Amino acid sequence: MNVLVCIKRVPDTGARFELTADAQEIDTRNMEYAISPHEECAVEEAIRLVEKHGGSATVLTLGSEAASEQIREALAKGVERGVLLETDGKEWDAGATAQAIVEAIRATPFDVILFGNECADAGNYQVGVRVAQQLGLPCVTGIKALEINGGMAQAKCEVAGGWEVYEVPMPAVFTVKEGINTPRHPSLRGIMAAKKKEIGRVKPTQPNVQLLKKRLKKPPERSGKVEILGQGKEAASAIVAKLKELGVIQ
Amino acid sequence: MVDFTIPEEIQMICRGLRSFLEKEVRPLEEQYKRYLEDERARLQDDGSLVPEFKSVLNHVRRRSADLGYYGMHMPPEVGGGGVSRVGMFYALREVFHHGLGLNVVVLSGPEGPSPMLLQFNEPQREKYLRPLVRGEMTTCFALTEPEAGSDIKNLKTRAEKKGDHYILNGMKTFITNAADADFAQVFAVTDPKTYKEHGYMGVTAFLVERDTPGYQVGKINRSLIDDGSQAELIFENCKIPKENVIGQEGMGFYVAMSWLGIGRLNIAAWSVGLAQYLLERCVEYANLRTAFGKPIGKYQHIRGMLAESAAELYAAEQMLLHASWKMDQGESVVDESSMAKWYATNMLYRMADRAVQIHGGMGVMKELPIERIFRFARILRIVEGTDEIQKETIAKSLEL
Repeated sequence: MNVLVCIKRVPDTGARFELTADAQEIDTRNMEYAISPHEECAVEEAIRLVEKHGGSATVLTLGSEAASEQIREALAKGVERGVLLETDGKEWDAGATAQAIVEAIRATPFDVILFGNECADAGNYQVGVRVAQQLGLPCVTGIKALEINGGMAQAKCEVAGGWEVYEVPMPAVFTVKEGINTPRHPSLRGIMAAKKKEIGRVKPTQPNVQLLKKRLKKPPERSGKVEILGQGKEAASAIVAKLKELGVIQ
Repeated sequence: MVDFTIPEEIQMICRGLRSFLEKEVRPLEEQYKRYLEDERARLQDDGSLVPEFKSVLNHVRRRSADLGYYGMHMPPEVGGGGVSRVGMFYALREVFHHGLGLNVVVLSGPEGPSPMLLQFNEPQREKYLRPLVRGEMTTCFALTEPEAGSDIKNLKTRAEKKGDHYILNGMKTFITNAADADFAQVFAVTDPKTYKEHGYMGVTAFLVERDTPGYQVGKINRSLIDDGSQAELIFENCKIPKENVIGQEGMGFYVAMSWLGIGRLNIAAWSVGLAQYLLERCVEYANLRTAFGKPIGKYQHIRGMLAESAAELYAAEQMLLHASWKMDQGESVVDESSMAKWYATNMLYRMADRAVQIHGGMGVMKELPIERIFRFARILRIVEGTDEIQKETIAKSLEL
């Protein structure tokens, strides 16, 4: 089985970030980067599929040379090959990214193509669906379980009170949600082996017509508030009054 | 040409360690924080660790070993990763940048494999060394005695050769991991005449298994941080087969010296990681805590303390990097490891003192990890050679 997993280099989701003065980019000084969390699960799923069914896994990303750091991380976890669609670091919208991926893989038969459900920075939910549509492949989004049986794949999505279960013929595209598995940590042996694995590089041409970014806007930071409403039983009436004020009770 | 670029694989190791610490170790720290916040909760009446906490430590050690991190400083032929000293500096800094929780067992310390044990023969490597690297066994380094610490010329422990074995008698104290070690590396005088004349010769290192008749764990040494790890070891007519000599008979002190330099660099690297952790906590707190209408980080006193800390941290890092690099080139770092150990542990002690001061009342409360690191920092100026021993080594290099 040949599995492709597509990832994106994103600012570490736990990091505090600031915007550049022109509000066009995130200020990347002193910033750590990581594989987007849903995609980290997609990488793990790709490795598990190969461990179970044989074959090989390939990891692909579109980005600047710096994104090879995230490819190496996936290689250190057990993915066999890496492909970097190398750009000059400028923003690529979801349509252009999907187009570049399709052109890079059109000639390569993959049985399963995995994406994260959405990336942690832009949260567009688009690239996986667009790739599937352009390749004419079935696509199941937001999956939390995946089983392969012969030429068919069964994917499950969690819904309120149960599961939606889809059976699709392969090859197929899936977008993976966090919770489908617990991603492994790279082992020392894996890290040393990753050094020797080759990363293929392709320079895609950026299309002229793209979504135009006007500016980025940082959302207001959430702030917590602690208010001591009283001590002992005297606090009870104050709590009731506060709950009414907040509309929790009538 | 001087190149300070951190090799890609070292960066990846540090990111891997960070991932392991954040995603696997930190949730355990949260689950068992009752043991981490208060030393009294983790100790039994005799001063040893409660079994539950001990098993958590063992679990973290083994998980780290499964990932190949725990013994990665050892060569591949015994199951290690062959990571350089420069690599180990960055890895130790990363691990101790996490603070003082369960992370302390992620990379091996005195309880784990050391290059000194590469002198084991093949059957010993298979029986003891590889399981150490895999985190399945632990050991202890039993040199210190009540009247002999860094001054090795006053050892009382004796091993008398009787045919194909030795009879070991004596007592060791302040031995890290003595209570739990599966085997001890014990230093004993085997040639009293040579020992009396030369001081450094006539001492032999032995591998002594825990279940050897006459091997006894004495009292647990209570300490400033009460981590339950130091104890006495007592040997009464222990019969040690001659195959259990580590290295060459009579050359035990030289065997020990081969390990001391690395131990000193390790402690200096712990200090750098912990100082970095404290500096970040202090900056965060100084920006958050307001007094008299503005954050305390805007006051000259606080700014001065943190600026000095940052500069001293930077200096310690550079010393360690250079000493580690020199060791990787195969050069002697006796002087440099003493300088780095003395400077980095004292740098951490000053940083920890400032951290307590900056955090004020909270700095001495057990709700924050600051006071514990302050106590730990004090200990680091003693273990692996006191400040005075390090300075004595440095002074000797000046031909004083």
